[in-house]
Amino acid sequence: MTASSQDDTQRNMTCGSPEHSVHRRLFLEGTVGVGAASAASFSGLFSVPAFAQQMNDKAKRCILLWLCGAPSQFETWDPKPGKRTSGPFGSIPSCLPGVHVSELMPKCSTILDKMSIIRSMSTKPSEHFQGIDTLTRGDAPRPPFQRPILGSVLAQQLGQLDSPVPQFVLLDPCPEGNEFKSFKAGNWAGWLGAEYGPVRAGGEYSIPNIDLPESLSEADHSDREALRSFLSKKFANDRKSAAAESYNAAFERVKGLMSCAPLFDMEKLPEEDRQRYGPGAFGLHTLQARHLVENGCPSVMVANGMPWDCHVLNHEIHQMLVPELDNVIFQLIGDLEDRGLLDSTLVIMMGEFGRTPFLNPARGRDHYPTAWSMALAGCGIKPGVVYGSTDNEGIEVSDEKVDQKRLFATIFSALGIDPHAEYELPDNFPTFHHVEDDAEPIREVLL
Amino acid sequence: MRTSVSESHYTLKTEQLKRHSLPMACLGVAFHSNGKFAFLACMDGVYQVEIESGARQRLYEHDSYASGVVCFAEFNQIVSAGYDGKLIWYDLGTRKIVRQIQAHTFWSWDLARAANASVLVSSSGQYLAGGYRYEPKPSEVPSVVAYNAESGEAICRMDFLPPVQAVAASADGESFGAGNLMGDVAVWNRTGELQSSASSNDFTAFGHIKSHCQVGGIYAAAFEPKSNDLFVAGMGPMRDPMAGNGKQRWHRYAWGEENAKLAGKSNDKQVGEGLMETLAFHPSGDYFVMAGRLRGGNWDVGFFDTATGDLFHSLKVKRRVTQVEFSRDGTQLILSAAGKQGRDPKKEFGLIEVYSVSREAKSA
Amino acid sequence: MLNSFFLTSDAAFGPQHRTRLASKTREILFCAVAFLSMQWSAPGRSLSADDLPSDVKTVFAENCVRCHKAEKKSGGLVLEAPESIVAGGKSGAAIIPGAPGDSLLWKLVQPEGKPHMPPGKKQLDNSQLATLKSWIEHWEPPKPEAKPTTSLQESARITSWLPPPGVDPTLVIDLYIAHGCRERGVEQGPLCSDAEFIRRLYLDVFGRIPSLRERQAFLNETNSNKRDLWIERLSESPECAEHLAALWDTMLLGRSEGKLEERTAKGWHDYLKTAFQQNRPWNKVAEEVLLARGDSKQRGHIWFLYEQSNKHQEIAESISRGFFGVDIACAQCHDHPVSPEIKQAHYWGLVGFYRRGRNEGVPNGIAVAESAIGGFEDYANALTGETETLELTFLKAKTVEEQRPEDPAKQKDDDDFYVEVDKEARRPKFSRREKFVTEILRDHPLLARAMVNRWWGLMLGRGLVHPVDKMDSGHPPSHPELLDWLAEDYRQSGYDNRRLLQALLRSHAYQSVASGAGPPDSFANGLVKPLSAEALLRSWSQILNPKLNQDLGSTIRQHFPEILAEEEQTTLKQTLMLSNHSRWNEFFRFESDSVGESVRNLERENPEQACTQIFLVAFGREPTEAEMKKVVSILKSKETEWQRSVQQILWALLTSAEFRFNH
Repeated sequence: MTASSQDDTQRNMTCGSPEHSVHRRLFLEGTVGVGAASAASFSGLFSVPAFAQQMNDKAKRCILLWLCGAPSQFETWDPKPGKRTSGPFGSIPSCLPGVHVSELMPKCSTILDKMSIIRSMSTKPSEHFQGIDTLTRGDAPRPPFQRPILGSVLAQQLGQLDSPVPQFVLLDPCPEGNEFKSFKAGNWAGWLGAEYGPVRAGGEYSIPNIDLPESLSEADHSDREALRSFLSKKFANDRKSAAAESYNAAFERVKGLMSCAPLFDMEKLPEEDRQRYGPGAFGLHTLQARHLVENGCPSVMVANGMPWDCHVLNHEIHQMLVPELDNVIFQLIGDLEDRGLLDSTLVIMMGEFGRTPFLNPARGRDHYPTAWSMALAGCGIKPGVVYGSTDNEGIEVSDEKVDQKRLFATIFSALGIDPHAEYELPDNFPTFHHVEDDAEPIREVLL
Repeated sequence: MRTSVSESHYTLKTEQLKRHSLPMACLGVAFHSNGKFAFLACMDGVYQVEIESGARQRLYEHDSYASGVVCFAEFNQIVSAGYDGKLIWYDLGTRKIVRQIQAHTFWSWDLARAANASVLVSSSGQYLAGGYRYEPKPSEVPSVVAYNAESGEAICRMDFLPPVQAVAASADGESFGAGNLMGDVAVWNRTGELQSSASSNDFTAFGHIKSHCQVGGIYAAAFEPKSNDLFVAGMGPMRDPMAGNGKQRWHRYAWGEENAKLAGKSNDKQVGEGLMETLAFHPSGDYFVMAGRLRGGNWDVGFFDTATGDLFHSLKVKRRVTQVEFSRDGTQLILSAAGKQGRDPKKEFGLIEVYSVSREAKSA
Repeated sequence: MLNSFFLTSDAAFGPQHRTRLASKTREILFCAVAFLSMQWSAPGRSLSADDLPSDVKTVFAENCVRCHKAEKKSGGLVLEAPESIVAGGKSGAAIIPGAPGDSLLWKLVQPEGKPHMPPGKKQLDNSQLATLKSWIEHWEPPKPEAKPTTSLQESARITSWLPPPGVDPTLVIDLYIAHGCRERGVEQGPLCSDAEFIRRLYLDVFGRIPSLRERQAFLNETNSNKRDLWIERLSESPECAEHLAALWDTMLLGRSEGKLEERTAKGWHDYLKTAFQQNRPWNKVAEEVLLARGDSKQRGHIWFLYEQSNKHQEIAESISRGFFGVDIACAQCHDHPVSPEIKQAHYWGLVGFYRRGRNEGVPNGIAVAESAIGGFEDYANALTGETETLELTFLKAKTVEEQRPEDPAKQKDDDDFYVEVDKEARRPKFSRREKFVTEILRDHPLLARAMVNRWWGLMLGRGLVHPVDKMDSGHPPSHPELLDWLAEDYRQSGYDNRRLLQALLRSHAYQSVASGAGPPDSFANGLVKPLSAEALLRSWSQILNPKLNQDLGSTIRQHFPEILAEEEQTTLKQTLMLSNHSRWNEFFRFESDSVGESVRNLERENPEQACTQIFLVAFGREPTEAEMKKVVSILKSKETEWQRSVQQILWALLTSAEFRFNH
């Protein structure tokens, strides 16, 4: 089913078109020539329309709006007006006949015909760490083997390792996040290796030490790194050390990242765009994500700590977070569409589970993996589908349960990646697939 | 029953007289001055409850939660506010809705009346992202409105940074006070002119370790009957906003000048943790009650001496106490509360409790 | 089979050990082999709560263990571990494996169950029921003859036969590791070379690489027992105590640049250093630090509590992590979701023990005073919404009884409650802190286990339980019997750190070639270990300039904060710093006088010799042919820019993986 589209993707991304190579060479030569001013020449590069056009037409990419902490399905995609579980917010009709969303999402209600909503998510883990682990990797853990996180798999499947642009970026202005903080400290790329791990940026967007020090010429910088790399690779091979490999992989990305510094500079983005997405940190980072995928980054994950975990004051916080999310999704999908990128960019909007139908005495809703909602749009996704449903109080899934495996099979299929392909792994590993147990993608939401 | 040793010159004796459940959480309560009935603002509508028997009747509904209710025995009406932004006047004699006013475009967070029955005041405002650190965005419509209690005629409308989660009217109906998410406090006169304001970081958390947004704020406000000082309550800042473990806390503001002066605050050694969402003065003004949720500590209803600010008596309801009101003669206290909503639809999780309150001079 | 095992393990001990084996020890060892071989061939050896699938555990944890826990045992049934589930309750078997319909537990959780479980209206939802059903259908319970174990990692396994205490722990370590490898079909690697050994030892014990002279002294030594001699000599040196003090400072209190000066000024660093230098029993150190009282001269130990300035939850979390090796932070709001033996009551119990403390200045300096009243505040369970009463208890230890005033909030303080002490902070007659030390901490099995595991982790590269601060049922040890034995031996030796350290350093596992072959938790081969910030600073300073520590100490510590990370991963922040940080780059410039003598005076006329010298200085080895070729070509190609070339080469060596990791 997806074999042909996958081939297309790989041909374009891993070999690169002649045009692409020319520009890369120009770029590299330019960098060498102007030394420390490389940043400026890089920024100019992406104004070459032919290059941008080439990328736009072919590459597939993915933005994951990671709603960490777990938003309430009742206050977003699956309102239950008039029911005892409803909460104080009403529902409004959407542009899809008969489909309502929370009144906190007036903008999304007008573009539901460009998205697919799954209202029948049903998963197991009910604590954050386990939930985040399962919903970002697509499967429950099987120690000691570490399954790579979605973004890392996409960096490998859709990206090109030699690109100066990072192939997987995590934008998260809140370095904290309780369990998410612990999770962030863990190994994201898993068995794919550290080179597929994310570049982390966010906050004030400054990445310290990204500029060449004055005392050093560009040539010195490259020469000594070449020797360092030569010595270190020998060591990593001799010692078969994953830690040493991770060390080398992080060094290998230094140069590329230095040349990409402008991509991470919020000031470089048009004021008008910042107004539309902002002013909150999550909105601005989503804009940054759009900018990154436009410029060759195949996989971006946007988070903002763990703001959705509303055990306390659920409605009081959702009244702010949901309208922001509503606007951010509306702007992002609109922009991608305007730029002709929506067909090639998959946007995923979800957290690690849902929230309880029942209120606790702290005005909060607690963790609820039993029945929750998420949304998809763009690349490979059939627009205007609402898949699955919950009972009239939102307590159980009444129709078409979707677990993380089916969800990931759907995500991979939408991006033209064979969900059942086997990972290439060392001999002492068991067999692993992108998605285990031949879990079926949801055909109804796929194009 | 609880009696207690007092820090002040009197002791307090409280005894639970009644306890009735309601189907869904009660967010507000009002005593009828005859002491026979209570009116409840509940998630599923406005109720009348006969205190002796617990017999209840749902009078009417809002389009969302009913969030507050006040009773005007003076003209035999109650007025309720809701998360639908409406104020509804209901006549206890004709058993009919007299008037509905769309007072706000968002929730009514809090509703208060003047003791002299001249005015009622309601506060509103949605928390929307207004800055990089999720400072609230200013509202486009006034967030505090005052009405003539009997005629429903608008008296004044005030702009105040939303969400305005707490509001109060002075006993004479001449001053209105309010507190918001960011810990700002303001007092206006009857023409809507700002009299005094202040700001404090003591109530609001920027959720450093988890949620980079603003959490908490002032959830209760009341004027002291004698001095007219404004008291506000909420909880102290939290490192983890989802722990709900800020200090149980009140502030006292003397607002005679443009900059209101912090004239007293709860003693951190006498309080536990949890969101405080109601303040009520005993008619004598000698003491007041602050109540809310117990997250860690020993009480959820605390009695404080007005003069010294000391905690001298407390109750443990083990529920989220949403409102407390004294009877007009000061001999009884009623509280509304919310428990944990259960899966079983038959499990009732709203609650009212009525206590007798008596005071005895401290013997040597 | 016995024979072949003996031969394998004997060969594996290598020459150093063979020379030291007295015939008596050999006999004991042989007995040990015989016993262990028998034991290890028995089926169903290791069981723990971990053998329950996590989703089942979650269902039980959320719905059942409030009553069906070891402490309460409602109906005689405990739903915490497979053994207790097999044992059933007063009404007989709870589970008939493979037959949900016949299983009492299954019947009672149905809506029509009588008595219905959980009690009251609460009904497990369909997905929870499905979880239980499929588990019952497929569950293979532990064999009844298997010995019971407790879920918390305490010394329950010691009931089985173990080598007698007093045997050289090195032998026991070698025995268990060799046997573990055999069982897993993993081949144990050979011992590393002397040159590798001496660098490894200096880095682990002194936190720096050896100088050329120190290295040569070892290589020139002809005594066949020289590794043991150096282990002894280095581990008894003040430089070792200094290094260990820095490590434990960070592991106990965390990194906090702003506090470093005060930690020195207030005697904390010296206290730790003395403890390691004098090899004081660790249980005594722990007791002093956690009681935090002292005479007028010795105050350094008070700093641990004092620095955490009355933040009682942080204090509780740091005590549990640092001294018990258990992370209890998860249990703040409810019982630990994955490791049900960690209760919310333990979290608040430990907070309770310390909640009456308050920092004070006293005539003799600082003190952590303790009140005799207060600290009875309830805490809320986030799952049930109920408030719970605080009890003075912690991790499987007993509950300390305390007289509870009728109304704690109203209790008045009174001088009668206190012991009279001159010039000291107030000390209550009933001191919760003292009770914690005498009733909970003293002889708590985790105190020894956590320390043994931490030493193991530091020296071998990962803990027997890994990570070292998560010693709970969710993290079973790789070598349970060995950990039991070492902990018991450590306890019986009087919590003797040096004995343990030396035993670890002498072990085959420690001295193996770091080849990376085999699973890391088999310890079949040496592991590559990242250098701590302290070790990086000391080693770089030694080659570049002592000023480095002063100028870049804080930067390096902030960029390389980890000690014994769960999994070592390099961040871009680190590599960007090593590439571009301007002050750091200054240290490689000849112009700035930063580069040390050993490099500055390289033979310009003889690039081959220069190359060899620089490799010896940085890596403690000679270059390979390919390396020589590459480096010499750089030196030659830029003859006019000799200094720049040397700078580049030096940077490449000092930032290479070979330098970054101990191996």
